[in-house]
Amino acid sequence: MITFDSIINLFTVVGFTNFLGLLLKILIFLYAVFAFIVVRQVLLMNRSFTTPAALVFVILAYVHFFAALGLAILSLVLL
Amino acid sequence: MLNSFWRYPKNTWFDGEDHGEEILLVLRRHLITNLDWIFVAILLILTPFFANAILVFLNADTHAVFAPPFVFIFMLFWFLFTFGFVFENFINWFFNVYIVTNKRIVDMDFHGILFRNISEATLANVEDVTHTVSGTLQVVFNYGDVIVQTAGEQREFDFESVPSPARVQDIISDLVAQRRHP
Repeated sequence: MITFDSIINLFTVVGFTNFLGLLLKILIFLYAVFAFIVVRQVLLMNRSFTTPAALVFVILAYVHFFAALGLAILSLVLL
Repeated sequence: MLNSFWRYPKNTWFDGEDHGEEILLVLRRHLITNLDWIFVAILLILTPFFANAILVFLNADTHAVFAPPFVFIFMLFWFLFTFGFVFENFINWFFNVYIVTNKRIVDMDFHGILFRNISEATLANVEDVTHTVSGTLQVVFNYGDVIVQTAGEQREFDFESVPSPARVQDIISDLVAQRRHP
C-alpha cells in the first residue's frame, strides 16, 4: 500500500535508489518479453524466407533472449 | 547474401514456392538506407563511455546515489538493449525482400515485430513496370523505386529504394515478355 511515508521516502537517497532499482527490474522483465517475441519473429521470418544464414539468426535471437532472461534473474539477485 | 541485389541465390527459398519455381532475383532496400539506425546504434554504443568521461571530469560522486550493482546491471542492460536494437533493425532490413522468380513476383513486408504482409502476382498479370530515381542520395548511390502495375488483386507493387532500379525494371520486363511470347 502506498502511504504518505513511502512517498516522502522516495525523496531520500535510499528511497530514490530503491525506486530506480525497481524501475530497472520492471524494464528488464519487459525487455525479456520483447526478446522472446523477437525469437518468435525470427522463426516466422525464417519460415517465410529461408536463407543459408537462417541458423545464425535463430542462434542470435536465442542468445539475446537468454541473456535478457539471465539479466532479469541477476537483477532480482543483486538489486 | 547480404547484398541488396542478389541474383540466382543458392540454398534460398520462400514460403509457398512451387515445385520447379526458381528464384531469379532477391532485392532489398539499398544498404545506404540503413544509415539512420546505424548512426543511432553508434551513439548508443558510445554514450556510456562519454557519460563516464563527463562524470569523471566533473568529479561527481555517483556512488552516493547509484550503488555499484545498480550501475553494473544498468550497463549490462544498456548493451543488451543496443544489441537488440541493432539485431531488430538488421533482420527487418534482411527479411523485407522483393523476390522475382520465373513465375511471379513476391513482396514480403515485416514491420516491427507484429506485422507481416506478403503479396504476390504472377508474371502473366504484370502490365507495366516503371522506375523512379529522385533525390541526391538516390542519384549518387543509384537506387530508387520500381513500381510494378498488375492486373491482379493487388494493383501495384512498390519495390522501395532498391539498387539499380533500371536494371530491375529491365529484368522484370524481359521476364514478362518471355512469358507472353515464349
